Amino acid sequence: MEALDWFILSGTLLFIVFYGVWKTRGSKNVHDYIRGGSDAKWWTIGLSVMATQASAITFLSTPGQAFHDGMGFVQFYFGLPLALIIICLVFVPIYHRLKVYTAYEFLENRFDLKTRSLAALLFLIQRGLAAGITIFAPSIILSAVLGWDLRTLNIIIGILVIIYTVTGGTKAVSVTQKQQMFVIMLGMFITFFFILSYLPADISFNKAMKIAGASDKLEILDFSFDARNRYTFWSGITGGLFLFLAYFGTDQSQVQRYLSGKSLRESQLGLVFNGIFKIPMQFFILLVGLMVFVFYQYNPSPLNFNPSATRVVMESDYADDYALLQKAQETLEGEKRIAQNKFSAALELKEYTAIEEAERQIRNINKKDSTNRAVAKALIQKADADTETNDKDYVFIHFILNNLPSGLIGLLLAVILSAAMSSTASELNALGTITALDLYKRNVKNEFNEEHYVKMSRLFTLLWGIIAIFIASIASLFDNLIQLVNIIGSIFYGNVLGIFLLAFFLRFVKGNAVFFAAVLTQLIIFVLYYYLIHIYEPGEERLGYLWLNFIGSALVIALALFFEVFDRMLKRPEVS
Amino acid sequence: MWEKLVWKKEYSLVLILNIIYVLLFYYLMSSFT
Repeated sequence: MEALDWFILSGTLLFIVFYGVWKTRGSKNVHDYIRGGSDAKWWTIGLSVMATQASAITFLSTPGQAFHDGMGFVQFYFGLPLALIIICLVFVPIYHRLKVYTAYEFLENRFDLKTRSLAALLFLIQRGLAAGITIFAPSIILSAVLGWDLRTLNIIIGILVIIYTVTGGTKAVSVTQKQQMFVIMLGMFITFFFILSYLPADISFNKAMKIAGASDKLEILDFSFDARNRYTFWSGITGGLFLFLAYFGTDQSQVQRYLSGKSLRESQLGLVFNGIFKIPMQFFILLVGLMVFVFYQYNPSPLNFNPSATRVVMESDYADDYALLQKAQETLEGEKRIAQNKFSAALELKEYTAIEEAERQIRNINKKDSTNRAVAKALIQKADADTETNDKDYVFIHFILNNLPSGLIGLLLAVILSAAMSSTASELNALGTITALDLYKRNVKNEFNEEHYVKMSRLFTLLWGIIAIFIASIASLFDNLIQLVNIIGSIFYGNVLGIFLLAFFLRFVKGNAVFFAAVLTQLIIFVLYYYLIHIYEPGEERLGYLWLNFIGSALVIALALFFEVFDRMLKRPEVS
Repeated sequence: MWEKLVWKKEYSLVLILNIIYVLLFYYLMSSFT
């Protein structure tokens, strides 16, 4: 990194922080601090919702996903527009009509205080952990590739977010997210055009796509019912719908974004904005990854993009084996370039037999390439079983640092850190709000004035910020932490979504039935998780953890119905 | 509950646009293979 990169990186981040603090100075009451004064327009809400969902790992991992597995990942988002329409139709009008500050306040309105407190507690556990990982995930990658100190990076990201989230609350989160989304999209667009300019002179965008197609990277729709295939049209439409309903409809880090809307219509339009632009945005990020793939068809790439993994194996007894494998890979890359040139020339001349022959050759080389990379991973595992061999998250950052010009590297690092900050800010804002309003205000006997609750919200946001930094700092003690957070999310999300669905659609079910059903469901989910997932080796589990979302939701609804009917039968007066 | 749901034209737009996206992306990707 050169001085210009440092200047752009630090200038962008500091500008966003100071802008957030300056723009939102003087929030004195709960309405201003928690709901941002309820004056947000639809585009602010739309960008804020989008920025909350898009964390740093989205911009690091998604291009790597396209690099390795092609465009199929976009199917994961197919349930999102449907989920947003349902939320606009059902969730948002009710939240607005009741003028709630938090999603769980609605549960007290509909059921009782204990159900509200239970849902709030479940949210705090899973989102509190996730906030730490939102900071940790980019830190571990940036520290590995740049050699920066992991703990210092965690603390810097955490403190920058704490500064404006604690001082300005929801409004600060929203206004900074607008700047962050601008920086993110600007950086991604510029990078896309730079990659195209780095391709050989005779490779146009059209040809680059055909090259990706020859390597089977363009299979965008998969209608198979194979449960082992994680991203299919059906899993996106069903599983994705379920996941996004829970995330956008019941997770306070998202609910708080659209509750800040000036009116019901502004909130709904903010979500409609996401329904329209989310899939094209993900498609574009995958397209960037696809162009990185084409770039590496003509340029050397490491066997494993994670430099720490390469370092581990090169310092072990397997260094000679790995060096031999690297030599074999270099030879293969030479063959790859020749095959790609043949393919390109055949395309130019429209010689269909030659095109087919070159495609066959490219597929053979790709098979050998995959084998080499699998052997490399096995060697890394042998050298150190704890080292992460999955290098999807490192592909894009490797490309950025080794190929982009000075200045743009700084901008792209600002993109990654902005994305981390925007998601963390929403999480801290929500955690502080839930702790202050759902737990503290509703469970402490004394009544205080508005200023007191704003002060407590600030204090709890600060506290959660410190907890998030702490979790990020000890995160490296756990294996495969990002997956762990997804598992923890799945353990709780289904239950919470089920409670909300009961509240919206089954009016005759009352608080007691729901509360005991939710407690019992959570216990059953813990047991199912332990006996069907936890005790098995990765890949050998008896149940995919994403199913916990569906099971939790179905179980709490079924149990609540059973308890309610049973309770009514007991209460029915006997006819003599 | 159900009678209170108000369908708005924007929701139709979201549905139609997303169906167009999927078809368009599929057509584009297929044309390069």
